[in-house]
Order: sequence, then structure tokens, then C-alpha cells
Amino acid sequence: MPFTAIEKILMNHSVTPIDKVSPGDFVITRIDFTGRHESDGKKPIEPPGIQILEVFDPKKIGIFLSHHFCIPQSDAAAQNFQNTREWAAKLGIRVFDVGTGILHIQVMEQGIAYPGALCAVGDSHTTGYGAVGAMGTAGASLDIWLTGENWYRVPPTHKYIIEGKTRHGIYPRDVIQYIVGKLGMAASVYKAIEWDGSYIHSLPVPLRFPFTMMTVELGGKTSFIRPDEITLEWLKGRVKKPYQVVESDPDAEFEKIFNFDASEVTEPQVATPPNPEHTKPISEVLGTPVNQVTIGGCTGSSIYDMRDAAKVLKGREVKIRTLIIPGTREVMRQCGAEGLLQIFADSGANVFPSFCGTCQTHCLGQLARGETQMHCGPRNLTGRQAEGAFAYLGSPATCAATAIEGAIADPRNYL
Amino acid sequence: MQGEEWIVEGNVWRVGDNVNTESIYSTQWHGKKEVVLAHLGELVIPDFPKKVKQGDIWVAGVNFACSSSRDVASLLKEKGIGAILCHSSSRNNFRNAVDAGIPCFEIGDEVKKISMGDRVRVNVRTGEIKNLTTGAEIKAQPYPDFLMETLEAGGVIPKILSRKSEYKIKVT
Repeated sequence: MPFTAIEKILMNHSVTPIDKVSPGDFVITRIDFTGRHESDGKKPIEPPGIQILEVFDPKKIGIFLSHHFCIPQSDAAAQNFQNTREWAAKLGIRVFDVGTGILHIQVMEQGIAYPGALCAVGDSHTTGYGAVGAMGTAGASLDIWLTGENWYRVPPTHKYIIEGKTRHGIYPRDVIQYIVGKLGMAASVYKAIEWDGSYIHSLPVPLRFPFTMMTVELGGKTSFIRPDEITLEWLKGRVKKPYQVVESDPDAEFEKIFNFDASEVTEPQVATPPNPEHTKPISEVLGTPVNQVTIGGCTGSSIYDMRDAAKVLKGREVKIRTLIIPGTREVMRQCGAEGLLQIFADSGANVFPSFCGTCQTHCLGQLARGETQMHCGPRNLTGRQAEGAFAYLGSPATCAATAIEGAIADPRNYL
Repeated sequence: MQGEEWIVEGNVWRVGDNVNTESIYSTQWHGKKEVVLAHLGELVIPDFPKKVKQGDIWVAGVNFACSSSRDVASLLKEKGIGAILCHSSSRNNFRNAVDAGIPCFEIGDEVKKISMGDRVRVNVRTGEIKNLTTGAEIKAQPYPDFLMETLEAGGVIPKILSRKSEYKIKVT
């Protein structure tokens, strides 16, 4: 019987041996990694009345004080963080402290997620781990921490095939935005999305993140990309244990298949308020005034994104508040080595410690009523910034061009 | 609760498709629970936080509680909501609802038979739903036994507390 990669990963992790699953079945699994970030840490990690004496395996758990916050922004937050550090030390759990960067990208960069792995982490963009052939889902409740076991309802898989090459000035962040705009946020509710096609498999791993992270913006439960030579090369030196690549059988059943060609995206794409499916070609929104730009976020903070932004900003000056936030320390170091930080500083932009940016204005970059930001994170939904403030989404190059003009601008004029 | 019926009956608070978690629980209220509860849901239904009553029912369209995984299910429960009915739920919300001990039934297009303000009765164990205002009857897929057990316990935390000897925890 043929299976999809996600079905196989769930079967491989079943607590009781099973040799078949179908969509809709419930499976109890033993997971490879769980964790949570500091937004949860603001709540008592141990609910009232419960003290954890031992977790299932402290080496398979991470606490990320670095995801939504680049640094404690108040006395109370600093105290919360300190309480969390002390609590984690007692249980032997590793803390990824402030400044280390975006949870999910660290998990992939550091080989914590690897081909075939099953990870349950408390944040919706855990879907991103499909970029390295792992299965990631959100949610990390107390029972998982205590037992290492997690239940799953097996999702049907939708396959999204993207062939071909992009046109000049069109980036992966434009391609995924185009797809969300075309299919809408409910295209794949509760489905696994397997990304495939020559375009996807031509991309370096960090440029696959926009697709696997924004799987959740299409309603998806988890994502998957078959590990290829590019994946395995990128994982060298990162994964410290043997692993077995899992992939869908050639005759596996996909509930739906969507076909795209990267060249059908003819213009940079911009998501407009109030949500990511309100996507427009840039020609329809050119000149929209913007007060603040952020280049960062889980879908726009890789070294490739930083290079694209720097190419536009080099030798030019920004007109509005511009925040540049490399996704992780690894990206920050590489920006330094390549001279990109100098380009950013020379342009008048401000570089901030690694974290997930202003896609939610938790930590910094808050907006006044009536203000508008543009960023290259995954979401611009109502409620993610102050009431009466708005967000547009675009590629790192579009964000950089917008910073220069103080209004939504076409990056192709600067390339 | 074994053997007893679990009935939720109340008035309906109705929202549309693709209602995201942040529009129910906005980032601007983050970190202050009393503020969150005072404002919960007001961006989508202005009256909701002031007028919701114990046992009321939250009814949504496609892809309910999409976007971030912040737990609106437990907050809706805390405000008095006894059950969530929707066309389809985001995966994160389906999970959060079980963890919080609040039933969430996905009923597809049948959800169109329920409007704002209707009186609805939900039999949580059987998945039988009746719109008492219109007479419409809807049958939802019941939860499997192992999830029903968590729901009946009141969620993951009460379930852990009820079996504390199985976990390495100290009850304080």
C-alpha cells in the first residue's frame, strides 16, 4: 500500500507498531522534539497546582526566549525570562536565550529537525520543518513534556507542484504570496502540504522556508519537501545523528494536486490588509504611503533575503523607519562577514538582534493608530498590531525599495 | 461523567470564514489576562465580551481560528462558551480545544443552518446538534473515546491531575 511522506513519518513514530494509516485515523506517536517560546513563558509554565519533577527527555526539549522578543522589553519580561531560565536549568532543558533568533530557523539550522523527524513545538510556524524533510506541527502541551507522546489525526496530503523559473525581480516570497492570493487561506485546511516541482527543488534550503512556513497561511497542518541533494548538503555538519530520509511513494494518494509555473508570477506580489489572501500585483498598490519597513521574519530573514535587501539598499538612503532583523545569529554573522551590516548602516536602516520581527508587534516596532508598516514576514492579519494600524507584505527586495521611497515601490527599478 | 449526558444549550455567537486567532485575542492585549478577557472577541463581534452567557455557543465558518496557534479555545471557554461549532477548524484550534476541554465540532456546510442569536443544543457525546430556533437537526462526527476522555476531564491539565501517579509531577 502506498503512503505519503507524512503518513510514513506518523507510522514510523507510532507508539504501537502499525503498518498502515489512512487520513482521519488517530495515531499516538513518540516525538523527537518539543519546545515552546517565550510568549507561552509569560503564562506559568507549570499550571497552578503542578510542579514538574522530570520531563520525558530534557535533550529533546527546547525553550526559546529568542523568538518573539529580541531582548526583554520591560522589567516584568526580564523577570519572566529569568524565572524561565532557572526553571529550565533545574529540569536540564536547554534555553535558546535572547538574541539567538527565530525558533524554527534555529531548529533547522542546528539539525534538531532532520529528515524523517517528528516535532511538536508551540508555535504555528512549526510547519516550516518540512523544508528539511521533517514533520512539524504546533502545540506542545504539558502531557507531551511529561510523556514524549503526542496524538495526531492523520491529515490528507495536498501536493503543490511549482515548475519553471521566476522572472527578473521575482523572489520565492513573491511566489508563495501569489499562491496564497490565488487559492486563499482555506485552500488546504487541516491538510499536509507537500511542495514539489523543479522550482522548489532548485531553491537553497532557506528560500524554501517561505513555502513551508506559509503552509499554515493556506490552512495547512504541516508541510513537507522531499529532501534532495541541496537539502542533504545543507544539513551536513548540522545534524549530529544518523537519519533516514522519508519520501512519498510514487503512487501515494494526494487528495488534491495544484500546479503552478513560477513564471506565471509576472510582478512582485504585495499582501494588503486585512489578511494574506488579499494579494495584489505591485502595480495596483504602487505609491501607497508606508511609515515603517521591517526586513526580517521567518519568511524573510535568511542570508539570501539579507543579500537581496542589501542589493537594493547599497549606496541609497532610506526615507522611513527601517528595521533590519537577520533571522538568527548564524545569519547575523554571515551578514557581518559579507559587509551587509555596513550597507544597512550606511543606508540609515537600523539593525536589531535576531528575533521574528514586527509581523506581530510584541517586542518593538509598534505602530501608532493609522500607521502602516510593510514587512516580509508571513502575516498581516487584524489583531497582530495596534488597532487602527495596518500591514502590507512583500519580498525583502520590495520592502527595501519601499524603505527608500517611503511608499510601496517596485524593486525592479533598483536591480 | 460516565453514563451521564453532556448537553450544551445556549445562544449562538456567529462569525464567518477564516476568522483568525488574533482577531479574537489581539496582540495588543497580550500578557494581561484580565484585559484579554475583557476584550476577547470584540474585534469580530463588538458585544460579545460584555453579553456572552454561560453555555452559549460559538459558531464559525471555514478555517476557524486560523493563523497563530494562540489558544482562543480556552479563553472562549473561560468566557462561558460551552461548545464551538464550525465548518472546519484550523488544526491548532482543534488541538487547543481538546487541551482546554471544550468540544469543537466540524460540521461542514451544515453550519449554514445556524445564525447569530439562534438557540442551539449540542449533545457532546453523540455529536447530535439541534437548532431549537429553526428545528434543523445536524449530526456531527463524535470524538473518539480517548479524546472524549480528555474533554470530559476538562482538558489536558485536569486529566493529568486525575492520574497524577502516572506522571513525574508533584501536586502542590
